[in-house]
Amino acid sequence: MISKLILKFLLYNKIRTSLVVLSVFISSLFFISILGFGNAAKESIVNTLNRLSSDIILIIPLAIDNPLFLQRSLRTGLIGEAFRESDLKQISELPGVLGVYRTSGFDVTVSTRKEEFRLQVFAIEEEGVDLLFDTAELQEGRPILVSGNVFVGGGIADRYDMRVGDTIRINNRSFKIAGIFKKIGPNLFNIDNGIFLLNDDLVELADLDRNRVYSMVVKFDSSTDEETLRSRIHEILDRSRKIKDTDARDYSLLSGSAVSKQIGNLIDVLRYFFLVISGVSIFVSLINLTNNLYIFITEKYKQLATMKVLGGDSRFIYTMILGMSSAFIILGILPTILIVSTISLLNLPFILYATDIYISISLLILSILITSYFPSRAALSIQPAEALRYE
Amino acid sequence: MEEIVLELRGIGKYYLDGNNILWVFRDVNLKVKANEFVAIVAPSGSGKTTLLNIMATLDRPSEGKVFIDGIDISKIDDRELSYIRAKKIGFVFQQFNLIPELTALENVTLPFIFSGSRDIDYAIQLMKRIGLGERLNFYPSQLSGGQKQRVAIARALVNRPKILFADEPTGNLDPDSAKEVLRIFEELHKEGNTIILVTHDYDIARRAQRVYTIKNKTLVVKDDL
Repeated sequence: MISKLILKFLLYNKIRTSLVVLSVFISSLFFISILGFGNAAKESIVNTLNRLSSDIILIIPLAIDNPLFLQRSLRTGLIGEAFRESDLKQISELPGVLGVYRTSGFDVTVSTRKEEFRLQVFAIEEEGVDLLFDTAELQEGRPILVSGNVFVGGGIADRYDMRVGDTIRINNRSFKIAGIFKKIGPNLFNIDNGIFLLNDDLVELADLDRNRVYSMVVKFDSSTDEETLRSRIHEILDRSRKIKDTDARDYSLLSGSAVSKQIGNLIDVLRYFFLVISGVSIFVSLINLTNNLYIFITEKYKQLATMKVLGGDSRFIYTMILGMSSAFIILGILPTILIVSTISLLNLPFILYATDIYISISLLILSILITSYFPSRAALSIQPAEALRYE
Repeated sequence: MEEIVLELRGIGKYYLDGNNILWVFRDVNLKVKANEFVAIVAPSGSGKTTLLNIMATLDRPSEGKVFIDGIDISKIDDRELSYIRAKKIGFVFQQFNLIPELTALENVTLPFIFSGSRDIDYAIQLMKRIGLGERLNFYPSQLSGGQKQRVAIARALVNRPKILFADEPTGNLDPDSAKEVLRIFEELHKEGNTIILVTHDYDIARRAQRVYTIKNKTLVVKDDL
């Protein structure tokens, strides 16, 4: 009977009930969508990064976490803070390390048939070239990099209309495009937007010191603990560069997992930002719901008083208001659940973790309790003698 | 020994107007036995509805004690008070106070939520008894004033209360409907129900066994009708 009463009260003003349900639906869908699609986006990007370069550490003379060194490095260029030959040798002797290869990045002027632009090209010594081909598949060409040839990322090739066999000029020296990588999204070598050549070619065209180690790529056994290896590399480089405080490090170790962690954190920040916005929208819809329950109590003031005269106690009042609040929220969330179920069936990138579901259910229960508590108190305070005295 | 279903002992009610105490009535004493029909007749504004509300546990007195079926209601909490309202009291309002979203039968069975009873057959029997057996599924908006009040009477009786309180039950009715409602009250009394009714209409009050009025801010027997 009480559920029938709740239903009749909900239906007595259908438009208002529909609007409240709609607001709950929109805010809950917004919230769940951000949660689900955000999780999927993060998982997809992090998985890609981990898959592509989980066994590589890139050592660069640039403290990307330290604004002071970052500023200095940007002024002098990456080549300004080189490492020693002995650093490379010591790192290559660490347990689990399969190879350490010289690399460099350098700002150059690139001229194609149609355009000229500046870009930082990436070079790696011949022995380590396979690392590039392990990281990304080729869209065109064969995985052989020889002097005088370059490989081009899919993104930059599209942007500047570059094709295999084309000749481009880098700092007035001609290179032939031997291959184009498929686009793979964010990755350690920024392959989509890079031009790759042999380290010897770069040394020559940029007039660099052949004996210096500008950057290094460390390939390690995937069974090796990356954290341990990183700390060993830090020990070697800190000793070599006489660095005592970790905050004073003027170099960085980049790896697939580190990049994915950074990007994951960035996605998390964005996701939390949108979750806060959707949380605000849920909060507004709950205020709307609470307000509607107050309006209901005002409109049904005499009827509630009558029910108290007939024997309605506080438990009845709580049950009724709680029931109405639950009905509003559940009716609003039901289509959201249907849509989420459909998305899951359609194999769209949408992931809800168990913790998300627990949090959502807890929020749901909390919302029902909060939205019904204050209106219930208002309903309980109705004095029948006072309420029924006047027309 | 006859059963006392309602007793008022030294009941008084006042309101505060700033620092002044405005007494509505005080030192009201009354005993109502089972199966009695008692009327309180007094002009509007004399405090008769306030007194009825106190008797029916809808309001608390400023002083004195109310006993319903031997229970001192000043000593019980809100939950027990709700139980007494559900089980021992029936109340008929001048304005009917039916729930417009519920049918006539649903209105009559509404007190079942609070009493725990499920005696739908008795509710239907009551509806037939008051001549609304054919209008069980009518909504209040589809009923006349007299029919609404009859539904309200059935609702007040459905939990078989010890006392039926009525506050100007014919106040909003046309003469024919008023007669019909009063006839029902008389029949209910003959069937053994205890009725306490307040009215400003002396013709209605005359139908009761005992008639009281509020004079000099207290309840006195009205024996000059």
